Amino acid sequence: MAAATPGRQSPSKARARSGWFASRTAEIVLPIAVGLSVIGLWYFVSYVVLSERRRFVLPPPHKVVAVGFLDGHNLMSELEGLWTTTRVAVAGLLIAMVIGFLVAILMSQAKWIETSLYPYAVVLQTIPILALVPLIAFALGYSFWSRVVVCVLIAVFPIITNTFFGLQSAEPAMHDLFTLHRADRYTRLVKLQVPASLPAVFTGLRISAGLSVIGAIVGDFFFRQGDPGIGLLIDTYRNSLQGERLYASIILSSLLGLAVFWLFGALGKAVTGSWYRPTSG
Amino acid sequence: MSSDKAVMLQFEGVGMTFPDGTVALEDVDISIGRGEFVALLGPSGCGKSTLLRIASGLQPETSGRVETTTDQVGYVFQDATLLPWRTVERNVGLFAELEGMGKTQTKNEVAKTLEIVGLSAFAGHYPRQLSGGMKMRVSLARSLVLHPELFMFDEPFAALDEITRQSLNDEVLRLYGAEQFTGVFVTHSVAEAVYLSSRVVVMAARPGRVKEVFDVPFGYPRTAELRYDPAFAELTGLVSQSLRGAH
Ligand SMILES: Nc1ncnc2c1ncn2[C@@H]1O[C@H](COP(=O)(O)OP(=O)(O)OP(=O)(O)O)[C@@H](O)[C@H]1O
Ligand SMILES: [Mg+2]
Repeated sequence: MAAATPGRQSPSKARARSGWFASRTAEIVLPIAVGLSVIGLWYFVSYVVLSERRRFVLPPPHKVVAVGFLDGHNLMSELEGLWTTTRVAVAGLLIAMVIGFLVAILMSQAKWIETSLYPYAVVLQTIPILALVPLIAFALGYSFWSRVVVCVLIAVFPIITNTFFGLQSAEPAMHDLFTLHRADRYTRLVKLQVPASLPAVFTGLRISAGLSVIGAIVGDFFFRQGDPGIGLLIDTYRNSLQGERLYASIILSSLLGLAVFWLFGALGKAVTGSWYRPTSG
Repeated sequence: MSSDKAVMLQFEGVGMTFPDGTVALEDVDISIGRGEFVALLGPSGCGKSTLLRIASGLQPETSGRVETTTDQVGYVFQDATLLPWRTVERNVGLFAELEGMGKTQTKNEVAKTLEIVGLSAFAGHYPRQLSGGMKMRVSLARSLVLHPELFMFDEPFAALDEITRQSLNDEVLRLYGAEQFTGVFVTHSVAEAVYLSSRVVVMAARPGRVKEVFDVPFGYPRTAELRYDPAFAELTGLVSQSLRGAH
């Protein structure tokens, strides 16, 4: 992140270049058009491609809405499942944040800590954690907290790498000036490295939040005791061929992912928006 | 010419060899008196930046001795290196904050300094909202707040257009007159070196060393007319020649 990023001109230039397709109206109209097409395609598959006997594989949209969302009883059980999953995902993300920030800050403070820890952070990423979920269930039991462990494992890596990268991103010249003016380690961390890291931190958080939601949903498939999460409902509806409720639950899950992604995007903008402009193109 | 003045910064047989074997400086002797303004000219890679880093203590020399009589050092780089998340006002207050200046005093000094560099109206702006020249003024102001006794400049205006550069040269001269600091100014522009300094040190490369020193006979305060003085043209000619021989 160079200090001299010419943030002022680029947006207007970009708009001038791509004309109508980048205008405000288009930003609303185009996604809606795509959405309508997808619904159209959905109807097409539902009514034309699938025979009546096999229509439960993909019930038409209005049925999904009627059975999955407008039926109060159904909606309640889906929302309860979603709430259980959300709690797991949020707890996992919060713990991953604490661990991730700590590890990244430690790594940024001494080369030997970085050298010792980084390989494990990478290994953690290469382990297919979702495949380990049954093992974790077996080892830690089926409590709320073992579901949380899955989310932590899956969400912590992007937080570590992005935060660490962010903490390293302050220019060497800036570090020199802090040295020249006798800043201690703590001051350097708080007044230089941490603020410099924020854009990258929020990038990491956005990724991790999405991963934590996925971790919680996949975890639901295996942790069949306690309150059923939305993932377990998805599995149940699938087994009992309740297509409408199945798709309603899937839509709710993806809405949760979207909400979380949007939340951290907005949070990042609120914190860094006044001074940071991501360089694009 | 510095014999009658207290010495502010002295290099005695200074050498710098980097771990990779690069000999950046060899046997450099320069003595800079209090209140002097010395310009450093030389081909790229002759060790000008290294010399400033050694003088400020950012980099230990590998041979010889460096002596300074102050720890009040200002340092300005080619890039303004402002903190993008801080407003102009808070950027200007940064070093004072790091050095532990009290809140009220910092606030007063910052306001005064912004006034001096003509940026009071931009106190609340973020760096990305400023032009290159304005960023450079903020960078100057940031050090100025601490009233450094020794002010080092490493090609501070190299990235600016000629007009902005000349107006910032006058700014530096004005500050020099008002603050009486000792200046060490690295530049690739011969005119800038002669215009600002009381002495021009021309360096040669591989290994970095002092090639020739020119006294600049023009008194302070200086005004823009100096640029059109035949004596000025003559001296810049001589320095240019020496610099060409250094390549
Ligand atoms: N950290 C380093 N490790 C190894 N070599 C270095 C290091 N820093 C500088 N050098 C080398 O030392 C020499 C002097 O570098 P320096 O930056 O002081 O030159 P300079 O005169 O400031 O050049 P310029 O005019 O391009 O800024 C160069 O050959 C450079 O490659
Ligand atoms: Mg240099």
